[in-house]
Amino acid sequence: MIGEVPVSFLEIDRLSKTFGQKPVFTDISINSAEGDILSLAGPSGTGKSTFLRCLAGLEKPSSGRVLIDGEDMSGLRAEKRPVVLMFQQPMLFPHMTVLENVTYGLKIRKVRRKERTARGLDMLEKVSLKTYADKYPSQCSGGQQQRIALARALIIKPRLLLLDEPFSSLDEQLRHSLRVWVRNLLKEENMTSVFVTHDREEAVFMGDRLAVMDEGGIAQIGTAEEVTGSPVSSRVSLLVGDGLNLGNGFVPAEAVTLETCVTENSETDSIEAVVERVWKKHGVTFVNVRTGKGNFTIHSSRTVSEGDSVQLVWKRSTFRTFKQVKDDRHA
Amino acid sequence: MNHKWKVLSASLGALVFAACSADGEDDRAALIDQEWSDLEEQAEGTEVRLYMWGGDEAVNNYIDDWISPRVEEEYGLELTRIPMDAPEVLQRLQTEKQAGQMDGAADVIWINGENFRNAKERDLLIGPFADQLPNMEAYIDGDSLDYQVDFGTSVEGYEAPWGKVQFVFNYNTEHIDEPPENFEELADWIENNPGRFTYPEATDFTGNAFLRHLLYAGADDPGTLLEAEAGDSKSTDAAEYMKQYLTALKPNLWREGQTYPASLTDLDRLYQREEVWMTMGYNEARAVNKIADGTFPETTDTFVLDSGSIGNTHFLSIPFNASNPQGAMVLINELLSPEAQLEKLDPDGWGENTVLDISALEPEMRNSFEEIDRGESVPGAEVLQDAYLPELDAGYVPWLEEVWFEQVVKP
Amino acid sequence: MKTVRMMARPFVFLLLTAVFIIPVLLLFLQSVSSPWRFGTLLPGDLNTGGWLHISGDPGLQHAIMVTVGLGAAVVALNLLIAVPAARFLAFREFRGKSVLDTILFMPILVPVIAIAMGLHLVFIRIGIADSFTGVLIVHLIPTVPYAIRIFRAGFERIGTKWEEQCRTLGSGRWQTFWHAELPRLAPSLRAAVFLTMVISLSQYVLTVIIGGGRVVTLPLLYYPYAAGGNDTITAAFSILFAAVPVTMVLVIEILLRTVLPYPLKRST
Repeated sequence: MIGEVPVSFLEIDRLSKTFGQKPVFTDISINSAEGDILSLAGPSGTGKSTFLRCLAGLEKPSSGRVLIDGEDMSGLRAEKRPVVLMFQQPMLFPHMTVLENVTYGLKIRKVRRKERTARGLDMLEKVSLKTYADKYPSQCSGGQQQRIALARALIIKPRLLLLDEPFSSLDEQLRHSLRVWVRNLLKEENMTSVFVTHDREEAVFMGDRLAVMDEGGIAQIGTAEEVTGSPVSSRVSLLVGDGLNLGNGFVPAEAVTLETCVTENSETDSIEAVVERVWKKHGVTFVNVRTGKGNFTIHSSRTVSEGDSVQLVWKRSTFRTFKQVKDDRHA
Repeated sequence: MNHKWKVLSASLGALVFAACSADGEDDRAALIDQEWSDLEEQAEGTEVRLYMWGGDEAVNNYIDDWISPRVEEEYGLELTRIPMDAPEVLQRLQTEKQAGQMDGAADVIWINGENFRNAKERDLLIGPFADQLPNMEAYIDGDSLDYQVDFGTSVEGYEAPWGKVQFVFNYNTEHIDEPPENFEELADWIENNPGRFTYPEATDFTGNAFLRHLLYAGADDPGTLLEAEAGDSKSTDAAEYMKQYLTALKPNLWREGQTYPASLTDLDRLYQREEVWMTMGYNEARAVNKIADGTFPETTDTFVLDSGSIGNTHFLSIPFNASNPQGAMVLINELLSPEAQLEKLDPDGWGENTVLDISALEPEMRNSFEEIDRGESVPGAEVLQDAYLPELDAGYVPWLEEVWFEQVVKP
Repeated sequence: MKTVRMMARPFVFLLLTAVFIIPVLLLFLQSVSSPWRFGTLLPGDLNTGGWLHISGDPGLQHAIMVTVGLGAAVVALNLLIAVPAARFLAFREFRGKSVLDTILFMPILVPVIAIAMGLHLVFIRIGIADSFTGVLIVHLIPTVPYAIRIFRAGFERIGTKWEEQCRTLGSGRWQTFWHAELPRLAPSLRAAVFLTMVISLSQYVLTVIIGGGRVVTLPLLYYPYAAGGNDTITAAFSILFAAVPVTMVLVIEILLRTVLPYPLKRST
């Protein structure tokens, strides 16, 4: 099976949750190695947040188990689990200084003040905010606040860190710079994490592995390349796929080229398209075209202008048929 | 949980049972039916709790500064004064009666009129006790109607008279040279001085008394009203005079009679600010205190009308569940002693008239009573005695309220 | 914006002066002077009689002690009852919540005398009539509904998210309350302490009926004078009356500032 890992530090075993009669997610099983960052992507309202809350212990799952390093979490209350959940908002205590915020978990664990301060300052150093120790959260920017929240979570060395769309309240530029930074820190600390986002690019960037959650289940899980390059269904392709969705199958983006005139070839296939928009990014020209199967963005060295008829061409061997066809209705 | 509830409800039940079965009422009445020397002996070293209205500085000082040390010294009684109005005291007694609570907080209560009638009717008092008080027997004229009937209710020893006051008018001599002598002269004066007179609403204790004076003035003879009942033909005839008198007065009253002071306190305030030039009230000596504490102008004097002045007697009684009835007896007896009554008459203190029959006193004591100068503004004893009118039946009070509102205010 | 605020400041100051400070000053003047006469601007002569009288009242010191003790106990019990109850009402959804809400509001709507009469009977039967305990319990009736409302609003303002954030950082319910919620509830705490103190202080009928004169508080001494129209004594009593809750709030404030691990300035 794709994405199976040999050692399971985090083992989620057939976890289900129903609210009343309504199932939120059913029979989710995920294994993750220590230090792994798992991105969990999917449309809003598919129960990603509820899933994280079940892992954190804030919500009781209807059935199934969560094991961390072989230890069953089921009977443990949230405050007893070695798990920290970070929310969309930084949720810093407004009446405490930055240092007091960061060392909150240590204080709860009755760590002595001197040690607390030393470890807190160390941690602040790691998030490059040491000079802010005595400031209050209201004096910090949104990005700084999230970094403080991250420091507050990491200082107690949880065995599992859950991040629920932590960047979604920030503006795009900040989001981009922060995710590089957060990923590096998580890796440096060898922190096993589950990172929830509805942003495809962020999911791919942050995760060592990528899970797509849809309709109360995991539609696909694997390395980012596996999932984006060969989605198992049209639905997954639509959500995270990086390539051309042909309805019954998929061509990865790198195998597709844009041609203005087509020479028939037994090794290639093609589809007609109309140029909708042309723009430049990172010094490369991108073209958005409309095909009979939907819109597709491709970079191209050819000069085309909006309204031109073009052909998208790929080698037949690169085409992969979807394994699950029943999900096709969403295409 | 279930077990706990059972225990709780069982113990609650036991308490209720214990409270209901406590029936010591007969014993309580028996306690006061003893030789006086035994009562005094048993009262020594006990606490006695006196529940009385606490809104008058002079009255409170009289109890706290004079009576309290005296009973402590003479009888070893520890007197505690509790400021509480009679209606609240009775309300509590009513509930305690219902609950069979015999460990009452009040030993002596200050009471009269309607409150007394309610208390007597509902068995909230210990029973006839007044005739056993030595001072009552020695110095008080038991035949006097004042002390036999309290607002139409027979006293029958259920309460002992403590003091009496007569209804008077107060006026400012700076504005009025010669006070009116009867209701006709009063009406003339009001007409000549528009806006300078008013009286409290009929729902007020004093305002209602003002109306009763007019009722007396409207009757051919005071006796007819005492025999009549509120609302019958005789009282209605008398009320006709009252109605015409007040209606004629209306345009020349304070604020043209559109509104009346809600209480005597309000009327006194108007008088104090010299918005009106007359006020009124029970207690012939009220002006002395009010001038002394600065409330009334120093130029205040007092007058009564020839047609009469209603006297109001107030009493002391003992509740059915008094914890210390012996102490209560001793205290009440002491409050009726010539010494205590003389002190009460002192114009620098309370300044209230005595209930004692002065002629029954020892000559020396009689002298002291006669020599006391109650203050310039207090009418002489003779004037008061001549004008004296007995209090009418309590039934007149609500009836007059209604008549006044329907026939004087509304039109 | 700034200029508007700067212009508003003296106006607000004037308004506060007019509404709060001047009446208190007048009250003080009245307490040391003979009664006003109509048509004169200034009160009558200096008259310390009001203060002399109340300081000479033998029951007064005892009454102040009883009142303060009672008020403190009422406040303490209110906090013990209202904080957990308010937290529960603010954060949990359950069947019959609106019914419970209405029941909790009843004591405020039903006339106090009706409650007093019924309770007096019950209290006699369970043996706490005419006692400090009885008065203490009966004072909870007009205070607890307000305290719950105040704290409930406070908890609702904070929200449940913080509790969850604290739990996932490892703090138990009590630690969460102490470190994360209480410092931010300071405004509610002040309001609740002041209000319950003032309500307890102004109970006359309940104290009279249940305390039966065995528990003598300030209002028992004061109300007869207020009704009797002696303005000088009433004014002196009023100032004494105001001093009690103000002192109480000051004590709580000092307590808050010394006990809580965080400065209160940023508690909102």
